[in-house]
Amino acid sequence: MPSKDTTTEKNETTGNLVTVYIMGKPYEVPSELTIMKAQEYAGYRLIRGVGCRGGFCGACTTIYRKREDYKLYIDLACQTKVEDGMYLVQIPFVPAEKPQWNLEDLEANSDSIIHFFPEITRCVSCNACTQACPQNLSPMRAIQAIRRNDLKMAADLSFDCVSCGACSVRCPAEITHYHVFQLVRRLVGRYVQKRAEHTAERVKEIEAGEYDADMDILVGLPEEELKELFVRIREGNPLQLPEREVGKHD
Amino acid sequence: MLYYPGCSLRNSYPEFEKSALETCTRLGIDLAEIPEWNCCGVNFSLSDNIMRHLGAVRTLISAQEMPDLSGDEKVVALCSMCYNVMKRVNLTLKEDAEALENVNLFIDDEVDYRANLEVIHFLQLLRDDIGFDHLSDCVTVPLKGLKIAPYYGCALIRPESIAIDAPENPSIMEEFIRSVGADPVDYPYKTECCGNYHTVMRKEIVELRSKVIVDSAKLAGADLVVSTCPLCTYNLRLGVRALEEKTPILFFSQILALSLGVNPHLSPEREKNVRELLEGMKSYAK
Amino acid sequence: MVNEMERRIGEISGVNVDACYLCGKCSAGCLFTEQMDLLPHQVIMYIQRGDDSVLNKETPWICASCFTCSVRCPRGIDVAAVMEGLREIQIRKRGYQKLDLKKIENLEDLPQIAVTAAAQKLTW
Repeated sequence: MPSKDTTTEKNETTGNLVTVYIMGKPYEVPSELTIMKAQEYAGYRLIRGVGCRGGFCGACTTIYRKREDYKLYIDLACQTKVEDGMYLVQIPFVPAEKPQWNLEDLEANSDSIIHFFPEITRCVSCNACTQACPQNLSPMRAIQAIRRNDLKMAADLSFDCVSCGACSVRCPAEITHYHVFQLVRRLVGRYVQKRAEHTAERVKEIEAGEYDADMDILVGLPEEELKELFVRIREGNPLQLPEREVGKHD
Repeated sequence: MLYYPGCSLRNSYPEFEKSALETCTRLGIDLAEIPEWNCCGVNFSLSDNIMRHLGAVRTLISAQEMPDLSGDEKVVALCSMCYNVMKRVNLTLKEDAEALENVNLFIDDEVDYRANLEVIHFLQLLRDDIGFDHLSDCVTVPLKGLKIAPYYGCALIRPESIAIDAPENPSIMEEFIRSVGADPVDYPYKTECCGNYHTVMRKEIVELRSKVIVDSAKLAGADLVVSTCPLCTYNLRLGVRALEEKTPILFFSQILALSLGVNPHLSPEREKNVRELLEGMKSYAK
Repeated sequence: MVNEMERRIGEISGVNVDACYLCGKCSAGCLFTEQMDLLPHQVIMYIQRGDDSVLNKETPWICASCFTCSVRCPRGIDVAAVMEGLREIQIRKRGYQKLDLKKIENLEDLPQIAVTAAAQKLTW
């Protein structure tokens, strides 16, 4: 989930301009814009450090300082409104080598994780990662949960991680949290979490041909009807297929 | 009583914690685990860098904020390394108001630590709260005739400010061993260092040290060695392997569990040796 | 006058090495002297002389922080803390690390307590 609301998406402007500094150069931009839109307004064409524009992909990590404020802020450019006097810089990604692992060869315990990421033993609980996280997660708590062999908690705490790497930039122990968390979630998904039995049941039903007739009806629907049906289902209505004779469409 | 387990009890050595918790149930000791405890950092940092103490401080804050506390609670640790670090950090903050203020200023994302907790080791709990006399009354299977060498290592007795007994000539483990009905074995290397973290990069140093320690205990007639630290245990077992012999290195809580008739959680690969030892004892034979 | 080495060690470890009268008790009790290239009391002596070549000796890295020396020092010097001070001076330098975590050979076999201890003491 994106952590910030996206009310700035509206196109109406009040005419107020603010000054932001992009790579050290000042630009006058409308105060309603997000950092990302301000960059584009200023004439930059973004080909790196931009992705979904919806706060999910974590590509647009932006580091900035504000006027008369010593604090270093980290946010997603697509989710944060510009403020007067912002000094902005974007980090397209955080350098990190992702180790290769085969999930089937691993056990779900913290030793498996330390095997690939021994640097997590350097965590001193300084919490700099938490202060940097634009998703308002606590990477420190998740890393420490791994140290306690509580992988379930680590997976839950890191569930909303968008892998933007802001934590890894601030970490004095040089941990690449997002890679660590991905391994934790995979291990938990594979070995800890309850298997979704209904999924296996459904696969069996499909393989037994229980939905073949319905599928034929769907394939035979004209495009307009199919669109209507899609909208109805998306609005939460149960699937009700129109009565049709199988095979009539060909 | 608030309880701090430590990382290695949740990973490599679950038998340490499990046996201890079962003895607590038997002895009526109520341990409440500190929620979301952090890694203590293992070796107390001797530098001016307060960042190295943060893990321990965050754990102490987490303990302090547990519900229904009377205000002067004790935090008990099983691992002697954890005890050492937690105790030293706590002591620093109790004695140095400036250090406490600095740490609290640094940790501005949590409530302040008030430095009113006490950190103790499980052996102190047995000695001071339960009492070794009372403990021996609770023993149902006295380990008669079993010769046990106590291994203190460093963390329980050095430096002096945090020692749970006399640093140069401690006796708390001997008293403990007597209270479970076994015979403590005296040997000159019981307080000598096993080589600590050199086991990671300079294994030969650790092998040298632990060979001397295990050999000395063995020469003094020990059937087994008990330790209070997962790192010492790991290192001493390296020594046992290097000597190509079989002296079991157990955690003190496993000996306690055996004497109270609860599950000692002996790990399969070592169980055989210990079972053989126990079968040779009268109290177990009957 | 306090020399630069003494000042830095005092700053990091809080120890006044000038209090040492070089009796050698620390070296007599140290379990690791066989592996050291300088005895513990000699380390103190180097610092007293302001000789920073002590930073490049192996002795501070061989010290396992067992505190036998600190407990026995008749002058109350925390010798283990002096060793930590020397390690810290090195470790705080840009790019310096004594241990490469990716080169630990028997990582699978080691308990977390061992990896953590080494990582915290030898990497920063």
